[in-house]
Amino acid sequence: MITETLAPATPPSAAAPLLKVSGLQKHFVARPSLFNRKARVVLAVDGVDLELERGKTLGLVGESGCGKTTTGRMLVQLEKPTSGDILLDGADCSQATGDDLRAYRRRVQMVFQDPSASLDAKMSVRACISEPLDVSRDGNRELRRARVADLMHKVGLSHDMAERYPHQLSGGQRQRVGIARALALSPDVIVADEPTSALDVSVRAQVVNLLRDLQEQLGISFVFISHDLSTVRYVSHDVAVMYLGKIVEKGPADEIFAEPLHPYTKALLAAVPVPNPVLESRREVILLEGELPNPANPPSGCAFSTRCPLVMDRCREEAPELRSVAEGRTVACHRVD
Amino acid sequence: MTATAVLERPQEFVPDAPLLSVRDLTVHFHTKRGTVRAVSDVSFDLHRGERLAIVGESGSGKSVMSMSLLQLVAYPGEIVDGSAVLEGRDLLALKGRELRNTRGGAVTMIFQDPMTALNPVLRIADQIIPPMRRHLGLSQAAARLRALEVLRRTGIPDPERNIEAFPHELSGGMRQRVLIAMAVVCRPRLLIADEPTTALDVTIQAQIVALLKEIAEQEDSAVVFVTHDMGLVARFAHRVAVMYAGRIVEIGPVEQIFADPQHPYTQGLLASIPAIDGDKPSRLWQIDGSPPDLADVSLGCAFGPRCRAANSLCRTIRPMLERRAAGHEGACWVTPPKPGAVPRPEVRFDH
Repeated sequence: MITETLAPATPPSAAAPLLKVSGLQKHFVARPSLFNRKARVVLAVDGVDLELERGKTLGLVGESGCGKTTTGRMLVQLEKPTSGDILLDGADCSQATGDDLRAYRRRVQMVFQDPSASLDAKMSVRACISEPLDVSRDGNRELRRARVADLMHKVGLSHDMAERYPHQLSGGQRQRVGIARALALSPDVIVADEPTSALDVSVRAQVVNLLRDLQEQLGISFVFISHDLSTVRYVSHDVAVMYLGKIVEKGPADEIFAEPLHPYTKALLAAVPVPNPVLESRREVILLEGELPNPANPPSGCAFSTRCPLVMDRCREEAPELRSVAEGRTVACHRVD
Repeated sequence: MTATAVLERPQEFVPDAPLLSVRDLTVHFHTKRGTVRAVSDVSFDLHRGERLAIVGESGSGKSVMSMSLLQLVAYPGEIVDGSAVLEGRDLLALKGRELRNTRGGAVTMIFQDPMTALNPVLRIADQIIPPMRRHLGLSQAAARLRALEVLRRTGIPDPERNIEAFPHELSGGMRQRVLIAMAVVCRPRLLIADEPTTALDVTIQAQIVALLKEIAEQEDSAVVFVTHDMGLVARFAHRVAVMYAGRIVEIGPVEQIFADPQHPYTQGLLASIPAIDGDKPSRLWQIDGSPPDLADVSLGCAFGPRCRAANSLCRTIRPMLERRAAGHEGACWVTPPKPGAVPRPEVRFDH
């Protein structure tokens, strides 16, 4: 069957990352309009390197407009990178087309933010989950039906929901359908873009627990994109912090949250309110001045220099490179030794 | 000696004179599916300068409740019962000129989305100055001076220039600052903020919350702060009211609610949030199921179907708010043990 053609030609060594991207860039061209006469190039993602280990979770954090969603969309090849390599099991897939692209997408799937927007309102739960199987003509009708039942069971949807439509489901149930759909083709990697943001607070933990269970049981690797830092810390093994299209800090989740090095990571962690009034009243909150610069007109030198409390002259002139500062930790800042 | 001390004492320390007294507030929506009981019998007091957080998830009635304090509930919604007495006047009974004088004057509101709350075709000046002329009776020049001063205090750079800007020329964070300036410029006694930072990024959210706290203190305004974020509650509020299915299920001082939550819903909410430091549990505590449909009338506790401690009493009779500690009330028949060691509820896998 098709699955056999998908097996990598050479078995991957245990140490090699499952998914590795390097120098990933995405430039959007804002066309000239009545009000903006000049065509402008927006560097949405400007040279991103990431490695995702088998069975691990990589958290991608940053504020809106930092390029984390565009990066996620390039990882599943919904967006064509302007330049850069995407290596899955060591094979470059960034230029894949036709059958190669379809084979890639079977292995790298996506869970979207808002399940009420990403599910077709006119398709039943069964049809939604079955669609990827139908499109890739996997097995016969009965096998696909059995597979849908199995997937629904896996994500915790009762079988009597199969004939329901998205509007008849709660937010949490809809996101379970979105997850079942992403699981349908037994992918190796799932890119989850803000999977809990659109959900009610009391339902978020259900979805987070489900994703962790799936990882434990099926060995799936996740790229978890979110601005919810405490959830990222909970689910991720490694974390990459993005600011204005670039990664400013990368490393093991526990270490980054315990001891952030980049001033932006520090400010981001300090800005998150802690659900403990006693701690909150004692806590010193570093308030960043100003806002995210316009990515169409980034500052010279370090992108964070306009808001950085530790800024010096060199930061405004020379953009810091991402460099290794300790075992497994990289940071892009002139002020970090 | 004692006499002077008493005289110096500001009014907010007199415990039996609340600024706002809400009693039995009930709001229904008349829909094709039947009556949706969005808010049921909500009662609370708010003192001068106090910051009360209303916590709940979407559909809990927190927004409708706070909007109805200014009668901002349109058809098919209807305030069917209750009163909200602010300094001797019932806000829910105001009509015509009196209502217009109160809205934007003694009581103001900050909405979630600053883009839709500002008029896109008017300059900031033309949105911030007229309310002051109406409510404070200031001249155009005096109102403009005060507007510039408040804009500066809310952190708007170069207010002289930005007061002439249109909303689309400002960023999201700046627009929210303008809304805050507009909300405090008439020195309201009460400020209602409905998820004022939900549309913003964390670093901007931190700026806005710090600003709101500071400026409410300066103007001595009481704040009703509607949110679903327990972290923001901890950072901002003096007191917390937790709403579930249109009712307050727990209310109390912020330290008490976090240290010793009395309602299983509050306990579950707090336990389901992963921490930003310390140990990671192998599983998050989860509240199973989803919030109830408010068009269904059910006996008993609305949280019952999702509660691990529910018994037959919970299913038949709804618990009322009862005193648990000083100023701390909870509505629960059985206050079960707090979520500690998290049991795995059910294994859903085949093998």
